[in-house]
Amino acid sequence: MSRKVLGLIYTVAILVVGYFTFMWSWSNQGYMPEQPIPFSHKIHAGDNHIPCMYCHSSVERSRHATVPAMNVCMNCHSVVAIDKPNIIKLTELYNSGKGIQWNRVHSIPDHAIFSHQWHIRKGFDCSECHGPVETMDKVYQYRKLNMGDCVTCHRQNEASIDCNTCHQ
Amino acid sequence: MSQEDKHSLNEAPLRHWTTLAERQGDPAALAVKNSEFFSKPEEFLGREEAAKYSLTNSPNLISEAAGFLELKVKQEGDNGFSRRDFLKFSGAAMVFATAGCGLRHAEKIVPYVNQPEEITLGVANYYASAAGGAQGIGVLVKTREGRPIKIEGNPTHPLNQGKLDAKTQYEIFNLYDPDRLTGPVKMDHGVPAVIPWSTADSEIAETLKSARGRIALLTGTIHGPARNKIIADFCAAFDAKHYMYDGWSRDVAVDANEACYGTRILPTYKFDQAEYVISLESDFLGSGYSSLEWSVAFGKNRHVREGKLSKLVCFDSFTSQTSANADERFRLKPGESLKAALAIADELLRTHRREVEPSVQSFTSRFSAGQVETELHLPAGSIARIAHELGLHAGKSIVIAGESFELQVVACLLNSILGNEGVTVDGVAQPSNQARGSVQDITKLLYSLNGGDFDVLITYGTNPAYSLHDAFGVKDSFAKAKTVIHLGDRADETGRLATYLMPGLHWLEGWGDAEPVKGLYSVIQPTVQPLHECRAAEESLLMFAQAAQMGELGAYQGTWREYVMNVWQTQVYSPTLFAADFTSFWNGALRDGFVDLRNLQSSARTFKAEALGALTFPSKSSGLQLVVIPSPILGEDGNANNSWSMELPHPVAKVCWTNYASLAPKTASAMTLRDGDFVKLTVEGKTIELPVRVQPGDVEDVVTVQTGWGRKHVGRVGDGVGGNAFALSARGNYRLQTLGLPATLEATGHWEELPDVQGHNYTLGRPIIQEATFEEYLKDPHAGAFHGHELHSLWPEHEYKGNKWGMAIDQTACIGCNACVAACSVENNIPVVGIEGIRKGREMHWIRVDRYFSGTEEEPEFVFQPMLCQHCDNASCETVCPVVATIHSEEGLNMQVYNRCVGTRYCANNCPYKVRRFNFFEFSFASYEPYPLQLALNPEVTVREKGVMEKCSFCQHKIRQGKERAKEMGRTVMDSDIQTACQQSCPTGAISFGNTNNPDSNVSKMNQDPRSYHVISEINTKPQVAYFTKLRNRTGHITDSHAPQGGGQHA
Repeated sequence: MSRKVLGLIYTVAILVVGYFTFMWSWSNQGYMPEQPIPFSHKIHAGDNHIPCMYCHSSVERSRHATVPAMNVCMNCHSVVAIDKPNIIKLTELYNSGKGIQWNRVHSIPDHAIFSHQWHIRKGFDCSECHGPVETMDKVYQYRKLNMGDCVTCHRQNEASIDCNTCHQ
Repeated sequence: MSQEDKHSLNEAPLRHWTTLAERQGDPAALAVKNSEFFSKPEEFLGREEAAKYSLTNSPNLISEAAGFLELKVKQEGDNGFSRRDFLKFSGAAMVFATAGCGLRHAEKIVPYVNQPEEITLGVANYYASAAGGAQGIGVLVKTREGRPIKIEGNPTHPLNQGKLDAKTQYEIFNLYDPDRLTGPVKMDHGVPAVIPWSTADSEIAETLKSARGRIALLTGTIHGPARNKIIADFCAAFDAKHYMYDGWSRDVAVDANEACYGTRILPTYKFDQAEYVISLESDFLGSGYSSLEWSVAFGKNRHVREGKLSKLVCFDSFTSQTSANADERFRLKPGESLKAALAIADELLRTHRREVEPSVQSFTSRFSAGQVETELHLPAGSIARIAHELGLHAGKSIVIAGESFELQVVACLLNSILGNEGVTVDGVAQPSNQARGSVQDITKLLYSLNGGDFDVLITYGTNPAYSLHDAFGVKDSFAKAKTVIHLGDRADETGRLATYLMPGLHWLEGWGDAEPVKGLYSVIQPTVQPLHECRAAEESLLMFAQAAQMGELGAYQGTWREYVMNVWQTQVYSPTLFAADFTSFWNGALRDGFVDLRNLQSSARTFKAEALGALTFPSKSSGLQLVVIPSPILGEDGNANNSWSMELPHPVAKVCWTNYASLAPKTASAMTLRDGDFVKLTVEGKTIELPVRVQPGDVEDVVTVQTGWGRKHVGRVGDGVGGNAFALSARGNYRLQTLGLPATLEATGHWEELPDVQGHNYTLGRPIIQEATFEEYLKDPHAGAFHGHELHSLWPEHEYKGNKWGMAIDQTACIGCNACVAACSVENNIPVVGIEGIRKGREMHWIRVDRYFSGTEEEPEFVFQPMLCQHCDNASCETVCPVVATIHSEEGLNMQVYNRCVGTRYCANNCPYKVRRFNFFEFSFASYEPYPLQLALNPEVTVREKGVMEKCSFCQHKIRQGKERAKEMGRTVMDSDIQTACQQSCPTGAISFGNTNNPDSNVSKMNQDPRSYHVISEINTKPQVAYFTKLRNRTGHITDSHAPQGGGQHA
């Protein structure tokens, strides 16, 4: 085996070790993307005390909490604040039948399955993972939400840490 | 044979063997057996590998998976893709991956504008429907976020009772077939041009208007009130004629019923009431006109209950799934079973007198048992014994015949003599509509076309250009019509003869209905918006009539859906039968999937003795004879462009990706042919080329070939794969002739390795089948058991506080149909690997059905053993994984962590059951390209990537869902909460799954059964899958006092 190849393998090995070390502590904590419509959770959930589940309605029935369909927005905004520019934009999009492309804030990898349904049923408050959403004008990722975060919490609550609890 | 000393390793001779090569001690086979890996690791992405996939290979034999690699190889230039390149690339990839870590991959969320009320994201919706095929099976279609991802059986449907065959399950991939037409096409002097629907409709309407009275409609089997009525209405509007034809038209059965009973119908069979079944050249389990219904019903009596087990006796000239399940099999030349059956009839008439005309006996007396036994070389006394056993099951038996008019007549005779007619065979109350196509019909159509009687021909649901051989001149006859309109979903052989291709829908996309047996109605409802700009064939008929404004149909104001509803309102619904109004009735029918108005009171028809006068006896043939049979995997022609179907091994031969000329070992060695030798098979001047399969159990001097293969125009997967056996069939007397055609074989000198999956998974010669006769079992329930030693483990045992999952499989009930393999593939996103992958032993099926032979090469017996991860308590794989990627769960599951796996394959090497599968390439990626195939993926199961190991997970996502359901109800998990995919589809209910820590679960009870055993338990793996000793019913279990002593000797 030539020295070149050996060198390459060596480099790769270092990179692999580095990669995994990096991944160990990696998370998207604090991620706060711009949104096409500056929807404020502070106004909705904070000032107006709209319950989380009014919009994120499938959180009790599905593993996805889901971003609400536009008809849910229009429940109120067909009469409320219809003169505000962002609501006009929303109404136009709704009437044109085009969806809004929100930027995803919380994202876990496809090979991990997190069920909102069972965490909510167990009695966890949304804020335990999502933080003080009612104070956020712009939503950001509150917790690490990486594997270590999940496992620690599962250990503390004596939930199963079998691999197939989250991976299937 | 005693089993006592058969459990120790490497002890010869083995009772059960997998391949001829293994039995004969072929050095190559032994080398494979002793090698560490079936596929050698140095081949992994090597130069040789790349070269093999290059375009010099026949492109037709290369699967999509290989196609993907081709692309890669081409991109890398002519030098191939060497190990060094691989390292370079992986190094580069890692640099980029590391550098890119900080950058978050932005994702978008696009919610619904108006969310449909019934959709909850992340939760599957099920729709009851009926499979669009001729069998009219009841199905539940599982959809996620609006796209169908799996077809399951409808548990309440009377025909299939929640079970589903492999064919129908794989139809999900036909929906997403990238080779479907995406819009209408007009052929202009042989040049295809895309045209809009509106233009096509108005052009066709004009043509139809002017051609009134000179229009023919050709379809496959059609049933269902609305689908029938629209054809009738269309014919009335345009004064058109309707013809029905299927590749496997069952004219012989209809003709025989007419000759014997005076009515042209197909009977239904009630196998659940039959304790004794005789098959005369019939593969009723694999390819009958209602094979799924029959398999389900047949399976009911294959579980030992109250000391009873049914018996299946086969008289046949080819090895089929049915003959592999026979308790007793008589191998005869094609046509010879006619005499044997008549001799049984004669014996029955003499010993068990029944009310049939005396002339019957004067006819059958020409066939005395002794004389026929001598002539056919049957063991002395066997006919009398079978007749005696049959006589004791009068009214509780079925005689079913295959594709021969003569055999069908004798089957009718035997059923009448036995009093089965009107009891287990019903030709009065619920005749079957499942095979209405007829060769007589198409012959008339072609004759009329040639005579210039028709200007316009409309076709759908049938493919005569493929399934009729050249002598019929389909192409020339079609050319006589000025306009041919094809409403099928692709430009297949028949579609290519059309002027207009107006693509129809897959049955998952459109409305329709079905009436497989009289009085059993189903609605076919759409489960997804049409993927392309296509519309249902029936809708096209309606639109043509509306555009032409012809007749009542032209005046009909409404859509096809409303038309279906109207027909149901007038023809199915009646306010006296259903207390509800029509809307509630209709919604109920959609919810349940069917409306059962069958008349369950049948009566016997009277056998007409003159039918026997029509019997002709084949002259004794000394040369090679051909038997053409339908493929149990591909169906008639529906699944030919479906990689998953192609890769599903044949139940008995275990060959996939091609059909073959099946030959008996003696015949093959006399011609010095071996597996994979290509031969020219010639019948009356018509020739096809096929590889040879040496099949233990085949009859000497008979060559068997399956249809469904050898398509010219079906799509990128199926084109040119195998040979078209329809081309060899003959059609005398307006009937399909498939049994015993004189044929010649000629070796071409070309050899290709046969893609055969059996023999890939040697288990080092450890005995792994327990087998006994039913008589032995009745004397001693432990009959056939291995005598293992009590083993102690060095390790502390796992402790299972809550649930512990286990499975039990009844090998007597298993009919080897592969439905479990199909269910598993669809549920768990299992990719295909292509013909080269199969040759290298890289198949990815998580469950396989192993087929073992016992006995001699000439007259072997068959055992099926579904083999999947055994989820061992002391798993050999877990101890060798260097990165702990395979570990044990708290509930006894052996888990595979894909992200940890680094692909050492130590686990696969150490697994005694050889159930672990390695991703040599991005098989999943390749399998689900191009669009829209990836829509079929199940989002609950991770798609695995290159370089990782995978295996059966006991459908852990279904376990999770079952546990959640139980939790929701506030109780512990019950058997009904969790059904693994394989268990759910198994037609005979051979697979049980449940919690072995719960003494009330079905599995716990089965584990207590004396027949229960574990495979290779002598190495103390403590598997969690239990098998039941395979039982063979030799004597038909005669319990009454007339039973002959000592039972019968096997042929």
